Amino acid sequence: MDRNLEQHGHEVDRRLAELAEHLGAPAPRREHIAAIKDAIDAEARRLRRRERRIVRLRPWIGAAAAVLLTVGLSVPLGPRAYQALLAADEDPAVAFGNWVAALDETGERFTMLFGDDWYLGADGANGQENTDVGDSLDSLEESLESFERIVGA
Amino acid sequence: MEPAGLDRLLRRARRRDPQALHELVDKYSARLFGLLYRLTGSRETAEDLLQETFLRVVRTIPEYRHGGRFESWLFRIAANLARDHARRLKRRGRPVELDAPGQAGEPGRSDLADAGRPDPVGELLRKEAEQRVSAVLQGLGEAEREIILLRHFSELSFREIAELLDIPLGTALARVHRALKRLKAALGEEV
Repeated sequence: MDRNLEQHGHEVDRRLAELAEHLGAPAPRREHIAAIKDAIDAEARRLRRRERRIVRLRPWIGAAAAVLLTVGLSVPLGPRAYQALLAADEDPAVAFGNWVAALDETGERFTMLFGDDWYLGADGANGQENTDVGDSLDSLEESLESFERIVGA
Repeated sequence: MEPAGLDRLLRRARRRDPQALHELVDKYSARLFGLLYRLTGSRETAEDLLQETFLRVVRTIPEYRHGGRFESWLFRIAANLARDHARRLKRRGRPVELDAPGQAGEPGRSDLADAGRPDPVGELLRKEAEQRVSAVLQGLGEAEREIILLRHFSELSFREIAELLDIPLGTALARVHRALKRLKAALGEEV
């Protein structure tokens, strides 16, 4: 059976080879290939950035959760915020995930906060530490303001 | 490229190394474009789908586990995109638009190829034959067309193509046999 199929395959190949000349197709244009390379470079950069951001954020999720809790306890929430929280309260993990995503969308500040600028190496040395921490705290405040806007406080 | 070379290239591509991704484009774009052009009948569509194929490669290559089946994986992405495109056209009730003769460029040649001195009569005949082939290919069933073109443009065996399309080898061979008869009849005395 297998041998029959194999022979049949060879026969089909032989007939296909007779038509090969007619099955040719134009080659892609040089400028199109260049555009594809540009597009995949941009996509690769975007994906690498996203992966780096996820790696940076992972250790901070706990800290961010604590901040969220603090905000939840200290910020007086208006009626809209209450509704928003009610809508999300079925799954706190989802609500928190949404908040993190919203913060992420506010742009580079959140990335900076948890990014290389603020990160202390294993030896704790970072010449820019003080300035960057100050900037990062500003960023944190702005991020929290974003959070307040999200929940309508 | 020998298997070890491809392994190394894919390891780099998995890290989304730009140079490695460019090498994949250089290595596979001509054959992928040929497949997409013949599947869709349109240069413009084939160009769009070629770009989308490589974008999907960039997005999913970290999950790809190389077992010597990269080409199968790559051509499957392209064939699936072409199939999705055909379905979208069908849903919108739009017929497949074939490029006019010469619109897509001379078969097998392009600005990437050396421009020799053209033979006007030969060129005309070639373009007519090319359009006839395009029309016949578009008239074939989707599965028949896919098998013929995958075999022609990829280096996959019929067995691999049958696996890729999730059909028995005998069915694949029967389909391609039927399709070849129709193609040959359409091309008449030329072959």
